[in-house]
Amino acid sequence: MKIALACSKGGHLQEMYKLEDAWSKYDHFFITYDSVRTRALKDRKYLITHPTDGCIKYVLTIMWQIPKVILEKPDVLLSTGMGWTDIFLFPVCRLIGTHTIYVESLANVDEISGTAKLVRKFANRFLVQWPKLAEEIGAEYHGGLL
Amino acid sequence: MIFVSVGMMNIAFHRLLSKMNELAPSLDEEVVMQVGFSDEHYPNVRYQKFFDADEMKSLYDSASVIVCHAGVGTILNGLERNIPVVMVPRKADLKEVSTDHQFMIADQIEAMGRGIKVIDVENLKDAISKAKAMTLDPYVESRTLVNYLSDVFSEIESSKK
Repeated sequence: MKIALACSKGGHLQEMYKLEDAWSKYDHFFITYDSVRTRALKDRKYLITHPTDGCIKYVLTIMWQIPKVILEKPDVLLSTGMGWTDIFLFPVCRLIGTHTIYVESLANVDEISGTAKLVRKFANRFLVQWPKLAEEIGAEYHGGLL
Repeated sequence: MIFVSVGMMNIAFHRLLSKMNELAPSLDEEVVMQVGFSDEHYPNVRYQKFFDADEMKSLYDSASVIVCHAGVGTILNGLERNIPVVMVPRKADLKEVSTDHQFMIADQIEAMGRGIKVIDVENLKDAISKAKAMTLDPYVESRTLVNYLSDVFSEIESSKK
């Protein structure tokens, strides 16, 4: 089984590593933003230029890397939050039959992010990490990283 | 050692960093700063934009207090080491972040008794003294979410066979 791990480069990456015991035993690869830290990741990875480093470069790296993700044909897409890139990744992965799981960041206690709202309809499972928030918005809650 | 970290966010957080640089000579411990996307100069401290993974781990391990933006990554690094975190949430109106989401997690961590939230950096020195005096119970990480995902992956793997 193959798992695609999508996350932004800072705390979102940290949260992904807190879930390592769940995914590390399977074949997996990262889709994340290019940075000193992510270039040093020992796992297989597809790096995308961060949108704030240049809109055109961002779009070009998305167009270059997402087809490679499709060719990988992951069984599962797990995202701990990758902002704009999730908006491309989730519908595309659903189209190719990938089981998509979105885990909203621990940081979002009282409300979900803008991109999470857009991604939600393309997620097979949409999880938040705070029970009160889950109840308010009808999302799944299965514990949090705190 | 007091370790200051502003994370990987592509926006500088000069407000916190310049105050810590100003306070450093009056503090009784060395101050080391991870300054991220800031091009400013901080002459009173040892600093770098980013440290590699091993150096970061070593800096976190040696810290008596962590002073940081209220980012989840930095906060988790403090929690798992039972080190109190002095959190300064980035503010959207000061163009330090796109939304004020950092206030939410800072409130939660302060309510848990694991850190202190600082809104005005003039209160940083006082918050650092209070944080150093805190005694924290050993932090126990929740395994519920990782166990749930393990079960989900196992289920999906079985359904493929």
